[in-house]
Amino acid sequence: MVNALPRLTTVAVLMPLLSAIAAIDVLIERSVAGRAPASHFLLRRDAVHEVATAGDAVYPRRAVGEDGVAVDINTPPRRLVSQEWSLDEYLYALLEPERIVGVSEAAYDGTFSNVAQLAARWRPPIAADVEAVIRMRPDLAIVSSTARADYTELLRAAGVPVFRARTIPATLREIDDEIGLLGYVTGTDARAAMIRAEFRRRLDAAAHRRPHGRVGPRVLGINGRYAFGAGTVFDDALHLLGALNVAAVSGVNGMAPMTPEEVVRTNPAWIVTGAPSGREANVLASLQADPALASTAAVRSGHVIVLEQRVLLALSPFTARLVEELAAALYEDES
Amino acid sequence: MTAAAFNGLAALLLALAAIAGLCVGSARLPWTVVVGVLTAKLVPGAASLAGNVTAADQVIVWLVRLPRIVVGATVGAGLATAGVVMQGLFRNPLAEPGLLGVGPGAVLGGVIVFVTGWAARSAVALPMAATTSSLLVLAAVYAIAASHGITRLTHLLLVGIAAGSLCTAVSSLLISANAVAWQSAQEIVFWTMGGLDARTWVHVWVSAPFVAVGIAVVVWKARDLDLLALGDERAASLGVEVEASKALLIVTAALLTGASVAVAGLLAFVGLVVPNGVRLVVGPRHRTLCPAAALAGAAFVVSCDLIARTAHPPVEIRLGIITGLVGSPMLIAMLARRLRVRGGG
Repeated sequence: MVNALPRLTTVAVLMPLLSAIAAIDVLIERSVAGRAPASHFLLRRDAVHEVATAGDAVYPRRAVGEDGVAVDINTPPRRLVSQEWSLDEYLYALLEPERIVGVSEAAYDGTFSNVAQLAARWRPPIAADVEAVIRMRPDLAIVSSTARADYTELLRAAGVPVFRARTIPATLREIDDEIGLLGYVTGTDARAAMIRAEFRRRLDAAAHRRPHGRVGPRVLGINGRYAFGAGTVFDDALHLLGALNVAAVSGVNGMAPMTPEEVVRTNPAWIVTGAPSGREANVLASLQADPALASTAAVRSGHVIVLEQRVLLALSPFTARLVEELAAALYEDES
Repeated sequence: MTAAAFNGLAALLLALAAIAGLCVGSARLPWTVVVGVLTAKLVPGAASLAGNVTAADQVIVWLVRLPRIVVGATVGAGLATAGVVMQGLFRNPLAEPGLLGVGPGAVLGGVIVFVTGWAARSAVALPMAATTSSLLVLAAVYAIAASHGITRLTHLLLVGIAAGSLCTAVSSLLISANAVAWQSAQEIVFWTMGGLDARTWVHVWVSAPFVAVGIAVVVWKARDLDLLALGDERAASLGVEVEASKALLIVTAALLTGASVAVAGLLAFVGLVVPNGVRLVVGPRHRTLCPAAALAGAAFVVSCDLIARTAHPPVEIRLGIITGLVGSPMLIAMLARRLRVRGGG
């Protein structure tokens, strides 16, 4: 028993068990995903660009969330709950504040949230747990694509319509799409169209700050010890502005720590970082005290941009401000 | 205090914590509503008696609060029993369930389903993956430590610690590499701190059978545990099949730990403090100690979860933080008391 148990029995038992779990999981997903009847106006993420604004009065409508589950919307939802920090920002951008009856805890944190003042003024309760959300009696809960499935399933079991929204965009285009999708889901199509137009206008204006023919600077974006690599909105913003993201060039994907040697080797001309409001000088001093960073052309020439955390990390319509501030700093001489 | 009196006290504490857990939460529910929901669900034909109970009330009581309490009690009983087994086998009061690497193994399974996005798509994925990976780690540890049909506990301990460190390192690597999705990283970190938020009946079904069988096996093997405390040779001379018993008990302890960590994350000190505290009261005989520790563990975790839910509303404190904050002073107090007794004696 002593030796046989670990070697053979476990494998023999676990492999079918794993297969069974995977099969059950697939069946569960198929059963809950449902199919959209032809009479519904169906919106999928990949169709956002192709579908014209339907108008605020076209109902019923159906949208498919990141988890593949469709949510039916028969009338414009009046009471909405956001469960995540960037979703708070989308909802406050799209909706009248009184329609937002629950927000994430981060909504009240002015360091990271761009809607902290609105939250403080309207005081929606925090959607801290399932019970709290149920008691808010929402017509629709907007939940992050990264939230645990058990949280979502409990809400659905309680009869709360849940829409899983993408909260980790990799490009500015994805944020643009998300505005349209959430506008459709919340019944604010016209408002969403306006915000998208304004978002695009601001991005275009920022992109045009770069003088024609000018080679964009080499930029390193860092937050704490983590560098913004390829596949981040920051990388896409630099691409839009014609600048070169040295972290992406050196092979960093997503946000990852960059070695001091790599920082020295890439020798960025500009460094962009974030700091809580009022602590910009501390962050700047810590950059100058870091031997690797201090040796870069960026620090030696004073080309360090310290943005507020909520600007640097925004993943919502408020990201337009990040692009504008980057453009203003990088092409200051030419403006 | 007799064992019966201790068990009665622990059962009373568990009942009070469970009742409070059912009645207290983010949503204010009158106790009559709670009773109405429970009556409607548990008494056949009594659904019509729950007159003023809404569907939301039913969900909150039956799908949110009750599974949470049952999972908490299950996890507490499982970890405490696993601690009893580990301390008995290793003849060391500081032995705890995590030493076999099963806890970090379960965490690794959880981290994998988080970073692959499976945890966001299926409520079953997280507990199943954590349980499965803990079993795989156990199998690996046992396979490496076993030699010619004999498994030395010291070898198990060393291999278990190494495997646990390896799993922790891989988990950390995955978390740091996944930082692009820092919302995911936050979910992972919060999960590893331990907690019972959004527990469902699925989590009960995933953990309770393992824990129930595990406790039954430990009680069944209580005499062997008593005799193994005298040493392997002495136990063998008294009729214990030493290697088979040790194998069964260690596998059982690992299953108890894996099933618990899978549904609640890492809960500090439960497997260490509860058995030691209970042993001081009811004595070292395992037939008495095991059920008492299971009951006390259940009461401890359900009580700590009540604190976690209510101490800082509307936001919950992670349960692992509370068990650590409560458990550490308890352990220090027990050690101080033991030192005083020895010094005085």
